[in-house]
Amino acid sequence: MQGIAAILRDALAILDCDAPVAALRLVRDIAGLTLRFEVGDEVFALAGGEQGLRFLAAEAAAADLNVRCDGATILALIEGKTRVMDCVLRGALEIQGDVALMPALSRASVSFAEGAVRSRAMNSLLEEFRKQILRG
Amino acid sequence: MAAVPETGRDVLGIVDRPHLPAPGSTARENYKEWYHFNVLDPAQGLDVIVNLSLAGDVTRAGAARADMIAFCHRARQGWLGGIDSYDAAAAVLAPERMDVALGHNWLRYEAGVYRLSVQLRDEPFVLEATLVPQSRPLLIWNDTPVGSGSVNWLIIPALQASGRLAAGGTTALFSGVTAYHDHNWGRWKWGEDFGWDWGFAADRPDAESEARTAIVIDRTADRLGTAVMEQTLAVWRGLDLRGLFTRRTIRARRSGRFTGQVPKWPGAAWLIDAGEVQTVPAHYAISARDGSNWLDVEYRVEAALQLGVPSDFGFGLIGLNETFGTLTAKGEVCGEAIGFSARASFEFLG
Repeated sequence: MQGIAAILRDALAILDCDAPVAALRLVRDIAGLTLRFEVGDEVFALAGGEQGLRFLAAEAAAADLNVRCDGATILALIEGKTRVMDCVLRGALEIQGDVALMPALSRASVSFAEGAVRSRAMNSLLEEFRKQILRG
Repeated sequence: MAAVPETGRDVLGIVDRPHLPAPGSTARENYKEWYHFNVLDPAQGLDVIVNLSLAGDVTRAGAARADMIAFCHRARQGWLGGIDSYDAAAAVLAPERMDVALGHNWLRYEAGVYRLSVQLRDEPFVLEATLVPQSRPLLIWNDTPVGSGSVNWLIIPALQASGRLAAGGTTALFSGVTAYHDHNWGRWKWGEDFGWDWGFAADRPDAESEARTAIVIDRTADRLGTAVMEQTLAVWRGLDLRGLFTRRTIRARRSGRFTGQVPKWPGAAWLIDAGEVQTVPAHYAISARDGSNWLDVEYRVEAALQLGVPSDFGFGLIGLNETFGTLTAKGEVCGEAIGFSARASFEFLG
């Protein structure tokens, strides 16, 4: 079973190839920020820099924003079965950090989605992710 | 019920062929083409959309995509289905007739019958259907302007469909129900300043003559719908086209906003725009007058789904609003009274 960080790494590689403009915008959206993700039992960090995005061990850097959710919530968001605000309100999605930095995360999620809907390969990855979530 | 005579079928076998761009032709990257079918079975609350589309420069590997779009709306379950996307190189098309295969799906016209076999890769959706044309086709090959490009289309407004649909954990059998087919092709860019309204309905066959009335409306305009480019309202009675209202003989108007739930596809469209869909009207009214011919049409939307197509201009999605509902028509064409209410399907863009 692939971890969430590995799936995200694959997704970003697909974005680079299939939707390079969206990938570039995503890098620009989170340039200078370090995001810490806690998805189920898995914890990792993603740093936006001049050269692109870098995956870090969670403890390697101080995070600007902390995001906590589970894989099923991510899948439901991608499939349009729930909305970000609904997830936040029922505690399925927590985002902690300086409020002023949160629009950057929002813009990054839009950039990611814009690229994803333009990519055929992303469908295959999504299918793998869906199977993984359904398997539990 | 009378099917289209053999000569009419022969015409279909030729005119419903694909219109792929030739290598070296201009604006190949803007090429778009699709085969579209609807099946309507109001007795069991079942409406179906099948659309196989190609978009982009199909003469170059990796420069075009092919989508198998298949959805159904069930009265108690809502929308089921999805879109399987492929590189256009995966589509296998016969150049001189309608015979296209994509993944596990194929659409074919042979011996006077359309045969559809759809098995989505990513969603549990299987459709097997045969559709027998009940009216002669209408070919509108006049490069109707859409933005900086143009679109052409072939319409068969009434077919009789039988088959099987398995989706959402249940299987529905249908027999002798109303269906519709069109085939669109042209070159345009999604995101330019254009929109369209399109819709159809067909009456049940008359008990005595077995003839049925079918109508198709199409209207292209700017994105706001205020400047109309082209519009036609076509009326068939039995096999034949009986009336064709065009341009200034037609008044068409969207009104209200459909307040039911409108899902978006793909679901990631909600991450791009979290707002509810605002562009589905509650009603659509058409009034056509041409000499002694007249027709008034009212359509009420009862179910809607928005398909998001990536804009050809940077980011953003273009929303194609697919709807089903009830249409009521009243009028007189070529001395024959028209009056019926039937299940119908309309698409609103812009």
